[in-house]
Amino acid sequence: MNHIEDDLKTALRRKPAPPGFAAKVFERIESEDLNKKIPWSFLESLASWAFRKESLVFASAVMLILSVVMHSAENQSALANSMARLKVIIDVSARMNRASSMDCSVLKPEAGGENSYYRVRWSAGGVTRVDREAADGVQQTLWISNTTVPPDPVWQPSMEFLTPAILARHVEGQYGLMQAGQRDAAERGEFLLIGRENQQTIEIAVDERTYLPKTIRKYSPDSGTDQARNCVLEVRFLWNRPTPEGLLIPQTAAGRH
Amino acid sequence: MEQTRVISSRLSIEGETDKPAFADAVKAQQSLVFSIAYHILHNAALAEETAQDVFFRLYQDYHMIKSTAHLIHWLRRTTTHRCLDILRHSERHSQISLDDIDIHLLSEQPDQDPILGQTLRRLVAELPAGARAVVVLRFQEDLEPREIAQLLDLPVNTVKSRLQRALIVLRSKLASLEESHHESHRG
Repeated sequence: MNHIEDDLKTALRRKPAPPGFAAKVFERIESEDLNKKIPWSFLESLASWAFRKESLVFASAVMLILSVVMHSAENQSALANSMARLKVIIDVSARMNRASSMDCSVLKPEAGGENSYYRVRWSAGGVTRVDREAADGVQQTLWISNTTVPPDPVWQPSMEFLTPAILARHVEGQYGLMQAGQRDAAERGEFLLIGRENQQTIEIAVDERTYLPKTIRKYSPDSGTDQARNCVLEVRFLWNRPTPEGLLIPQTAAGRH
Repeated sequence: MEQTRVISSRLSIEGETDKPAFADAVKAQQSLVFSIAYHILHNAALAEETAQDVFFRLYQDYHMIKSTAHLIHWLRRTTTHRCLDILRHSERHSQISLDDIDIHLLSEQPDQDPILGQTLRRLVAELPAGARAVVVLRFQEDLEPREIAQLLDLPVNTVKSRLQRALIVLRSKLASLEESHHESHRG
């Protein structure tokens, strides 16, 4: 190789990309992703939230919340006016999108008060850590990424919530909001959304300040009056609790925190 | 509603991009893409914008990428064609602006006279767009004429002749620049 070719190789060597280049690419993709989804149905964006967060274990619970919120927002009687409906949609979706962690205790009064506990922590890098404590006290940790295959059925998400199309069919077929929550039925500082799934009444309490769901309660079909209702499932949520440093790095997160 | 399908053996969604893998690809290949764009367009800001375009398009097509070799081939090809499109649709190829050169880019040539490096990059930027792409792929990416021909959808002989002509032009211009430099010192 002669002189000029050597000089060209040196002059045209690869240069580092400008500082922050990769971050700008990711920001643009996130932004374009959101823009692309705006004209689509609200369900689409809700479902994409589940994919982004890889919240496989909780996909069904989260989608249940959001689908009922959505249905309630579409119901004129659910909220005072269209602006309020829009605010609920935007705020609940946005707050959940920004969540970094979700703690969730699941109580089944009918199963002798069986109680299990989940803690989900999402990392910006797309890795999700789920800690589960079963009713029998057994603790497990699952790391979830795009290629994760859940190790056993206890981790399996409800598959009907894994795609927007299936979710839409499921919501349309099974979740019909029968009535809006009555203000006096809700505790102070929350609004109540009431829906139905498989003949069961579902109540979702959303924090008026944070617009994040606080509880989901499911009542058996034969529940009659408020006084005699039979709660078969209660899920309580805590959002955005601090995550200890290093916990979201699989190599260093040795124990349960 | 978009048609998506759950793949049972793996929790990935057809048409959905594997974001962590994509992020790794951006970090690993950003220098390749930016450098091709920069050396062809000779404008750091435009090169960065073009490189972002390329990665955005990669994001949309990422599910079709089969291997790292395929990824690199795709990036080289897409970046080069994108740059040629830009040059075709703008007057930039006739404008050489030394102001566009970033300081941090110039500081990356420890084993070369920085003036010579700048001069060569400027002379490359004065080449016709097609020849410029060939030279960048040959000397930045170290590709053989056969590989360049595949990337640019050109006959191998066309690539070889463009390369030879480009080198003749570059040698000639470099020699005349050196001569005028010596004359000015003598004068």
